[in-house]
Amino acid sequence: MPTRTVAIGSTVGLHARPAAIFVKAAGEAPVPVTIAKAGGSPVPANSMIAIMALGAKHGDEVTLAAEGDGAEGALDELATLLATDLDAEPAS
Amino acid sequence: MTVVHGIGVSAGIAFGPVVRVGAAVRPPDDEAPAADAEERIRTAFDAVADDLDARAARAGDPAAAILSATAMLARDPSPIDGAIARAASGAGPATAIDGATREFMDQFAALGGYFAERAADLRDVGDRAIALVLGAPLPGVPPLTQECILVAHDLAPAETATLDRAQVLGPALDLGRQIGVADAALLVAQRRFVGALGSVAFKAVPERLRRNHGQSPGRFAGNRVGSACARTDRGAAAG
Repeated sequence: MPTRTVAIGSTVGLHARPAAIFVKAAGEAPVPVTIAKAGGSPVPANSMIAIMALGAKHGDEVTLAAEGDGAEGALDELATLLATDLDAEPAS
Repeated sequence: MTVVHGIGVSAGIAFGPVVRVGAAVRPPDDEAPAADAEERIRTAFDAVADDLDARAARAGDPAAAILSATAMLARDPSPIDGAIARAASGAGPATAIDGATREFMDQFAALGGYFAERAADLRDVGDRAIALVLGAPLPGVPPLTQECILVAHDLAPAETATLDRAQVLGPALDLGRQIGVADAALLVAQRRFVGALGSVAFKAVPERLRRNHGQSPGRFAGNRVGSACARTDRGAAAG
């Protein structure tokens, strides 16, 4: 299964606004995507509740996984989002 | 006469008849499994989310943001999929929703702070979905016809945000838990009611805590929640 491992770039962690941006993007992906912390169970990336419970902090490595048509592109896009400091972007 | 001691979280004094907030419906014991459980669970969560979104559209800030965030929890696949999985292994639909939302509430409560407060939103979503799936009246604030003191065990932030300020002299809350500086129910209560004549919100000290600790409400306030109250008071005064 295609995977991407990336360190959380947002200084607040995968939490609040960065988490909301990520969850929205994961929900728009053409295939279901999971996210896991090292040694943890994968949880659905399109679930805010699961992402909040994951509690990934700035610098924590997480692994994204997906399978099917468009998985590679979706993973690239989501991995880029995670590596970006989303809290530093101007508010939309 | 019944006297309940509390801790004021906003300035003022109010007199009025008491209106109690409707208690949440619990799933029946030994609830039978349903063949159409998945569809009923999805429909219930959808209806809860649509209702919250509709209320958000009518509300101003900060209520709209809180209602939208709660609607997002109601659309979250984790509790819905969890409830469907529980129903598939033989739980009744209401029991399945209750179990799935509690599972995530427990995770949030264990994380503490901000997350523990989100647990209250999730409980609100779960309680509404349970009532819908059972065809029972929705929990929460009944239609208000006169000025009153609203008495509740707790108010979900979404409920506090949309209270009819003209009708509610003040909410009296027995949260039964330690209140935090960023406690959403209290913060919204303060924003809504500060400036209104006789605006008050109380955290009633649970009788069993006073009994167990042998403390007066004042000492209890000083020891456990005094600093939190002082900080939220300053926030209200500045805003």
